[in-house]
Amino acid sequence: MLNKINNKTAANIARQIIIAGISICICMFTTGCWDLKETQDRHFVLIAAIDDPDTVKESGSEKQPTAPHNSFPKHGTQDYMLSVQILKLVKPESKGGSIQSERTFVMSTLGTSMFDMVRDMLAQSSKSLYFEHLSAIVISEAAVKKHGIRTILDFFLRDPEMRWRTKIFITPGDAKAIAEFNPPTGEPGGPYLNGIIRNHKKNIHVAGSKTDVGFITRAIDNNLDYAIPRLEYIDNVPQLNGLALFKNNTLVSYADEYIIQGLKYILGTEKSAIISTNCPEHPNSEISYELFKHDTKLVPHIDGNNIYFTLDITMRGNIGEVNCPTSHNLHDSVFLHKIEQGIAQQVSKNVMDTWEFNQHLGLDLFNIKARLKGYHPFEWAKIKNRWEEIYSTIPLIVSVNVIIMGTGEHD
Amino acid sequence: MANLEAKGKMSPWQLGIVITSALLTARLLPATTYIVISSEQFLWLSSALAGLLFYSAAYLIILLGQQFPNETIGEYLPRLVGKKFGAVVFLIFITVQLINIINCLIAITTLYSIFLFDQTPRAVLIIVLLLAVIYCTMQEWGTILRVIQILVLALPMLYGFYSLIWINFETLNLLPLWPDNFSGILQGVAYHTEYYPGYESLLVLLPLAARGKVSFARTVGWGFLLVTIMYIIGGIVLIGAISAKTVSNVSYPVVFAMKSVEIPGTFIERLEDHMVTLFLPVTYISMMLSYYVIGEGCRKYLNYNDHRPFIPLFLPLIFFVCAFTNTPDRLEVLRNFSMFIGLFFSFVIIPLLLILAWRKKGNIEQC
Repeated sequence: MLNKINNKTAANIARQIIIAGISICICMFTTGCWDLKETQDRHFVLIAAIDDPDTVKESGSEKQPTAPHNSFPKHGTQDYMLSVQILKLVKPESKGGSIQSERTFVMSTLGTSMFDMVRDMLAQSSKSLYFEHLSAIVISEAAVKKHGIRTILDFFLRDPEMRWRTKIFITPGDAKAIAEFNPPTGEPGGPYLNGIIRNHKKNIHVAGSKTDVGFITRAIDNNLDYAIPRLEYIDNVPQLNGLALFKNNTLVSYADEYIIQGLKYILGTEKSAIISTNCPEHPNSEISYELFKHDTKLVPHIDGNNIYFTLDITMRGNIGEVNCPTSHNLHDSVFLHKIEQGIAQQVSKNVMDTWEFNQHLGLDLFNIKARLKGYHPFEWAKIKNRWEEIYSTIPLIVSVNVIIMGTGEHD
Repeated sequence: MANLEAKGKMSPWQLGIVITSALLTARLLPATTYIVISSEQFLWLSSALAGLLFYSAAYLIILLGQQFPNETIGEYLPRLVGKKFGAVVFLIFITVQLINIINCLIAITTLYSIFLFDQTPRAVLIIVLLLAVIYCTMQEWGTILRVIQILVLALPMLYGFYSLIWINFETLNLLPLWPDNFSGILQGVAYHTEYYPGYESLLVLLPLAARGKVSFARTVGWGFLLVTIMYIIGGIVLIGAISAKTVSNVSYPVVFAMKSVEIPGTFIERLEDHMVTLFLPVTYISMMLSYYVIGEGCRKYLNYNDHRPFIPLFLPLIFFVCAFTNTPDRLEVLRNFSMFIGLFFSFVIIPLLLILAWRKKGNIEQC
């Protein structure tokens, strides 16, 4: 009897030990974070700059292509030079009373596949590269002309680590030089470039709306034409200067400030703008109009066999500056109306020039095709095969209504 | 203090909540891509039609349940179609439930292994989640019901996060409003088995609900309506934000759309990670419910006292199928199999059972 009880107890204890053992094993393997990696063990990439290696060599700006590649050329072709700007996770050093402001450093490598190059960089880096904070992708004109933008962006679209709001820039010079730029503000270059493009809403000459990875991907998916800001290195400072215009995968042309202005008038992507017009009474002086509310409506119409678009623009703003030699009575509604008309004519001309510029290049930056298909699907079905020839002939009827809401604090 | 765990019944409204919370799972994330491939920008229309269709299936189940009050499918099947056919139909029912668990597990663990835990082996994620599901399923119905009532709060939070996609909304992406591809829309409706899973649980849950003044058809109907409206609005905003072409080009369009949201000046970053996290409790409800329904269904079918012995029984099978289905080819086979067996069960077997039940009842009344 006692033996039986002892056997039963022993069996119970053995069962409990086995259950405890299994539970411990399960806990050991399933709890805790397998993915733990401390912040200081990562290299945060802020800018990815992509160049055509041949052009960089020709321009002579490439000072230090990584040593291993000089001594042991890589196997196969080298289509790209990828440079990444990495954040230094250390306090800026103080030397002789002044603080060293470089908060970033740049690594480069050559290759054909972006992913391969990123992994290749681990030969120069003590830590793995981390793209979750990538602020900007700068691509040189030479690289984009040679390979097309879709191919270059492929790695950035596939990797789930990437952000969709990363800004893209095209530069006529070397992209690496922009990655190496240290802003005077002391902030890292990546967020600095990101900040520049955010200001597009207040500057009518700069375009930055819908030019990030997400929107460009959407445009490529939908076979739409799109524009990417052009970043130029002027006097050792990167500056937004124009727009690179793309049809499908190809860089077609650039748009200057005037065309950008027209694009923004049509699409209404700015929150504020300064529009200068000649004074009705002093043609050599200028009056600046501060636009702060802009409504725009681009609608397709079909009348028999005629297709045309109407654009209604309503602008509300204040008089911001008057440069005339003698003062005006800005409470005179007739005078104000003349200013309104002057601005409206100027905007109207700019819009028409931009419309024709697009038609001349065969570019559809205003989604004309999608609007026609959306508003008139049955008519679209009839003309879609002849679209390329029809597009360049479609007229635009512009109506601009400018309203001066205020004349400033002091007259 | 009241014993909250002892309660084995629920009200009709609680039944509505349970079924509603089982419908929305992470299964919809990869499914959206192939629905949009066929339905294009009419995802919203496809979801609306699917809501109507799957509610009609749920309604048939409720009608069937009315013929056999206080009995689960396993109990009345042998009387209705005989022992052998009853076993086959019961097996199909269990397979439908198992497939829901498997699909949910695959969807959520793949999502987590891509966006959150890329270093963790997927098998480990499957084990962890399965153990969590089993732990809850081992409890009494009262406890399970309360867990569901708490976790369902994640649903409005998830939808609130998702609504931020409106920031990128563009009407032009939804145009033209007039559909020219009706067959594509109908094909999309069939793929919506991933959008409306788990309502078959009614076949086991109906006897657990107290019959009152409010009919089950009404409470479950409100649940379907709510979820369908969520899908319709969700479909409109998704296509409006990232366009139908982009949706059909990405693996997880909902996460992609969330990635496109940026709120400058706020401390909240990477909103998609928050949304991915919120999908876990929502999916957990559906998995737990299906697993409980399997256990309870088997208990009634085999006349056991407890549903617990049946829970670990299916664990190796679920784990093996989940771990094995790790390539696009296998995923497609499983997806097609899930769709066909789900549609076959809901729109062939259930109507046949209902007709048989009506005929038998008619014969008895005549006698």
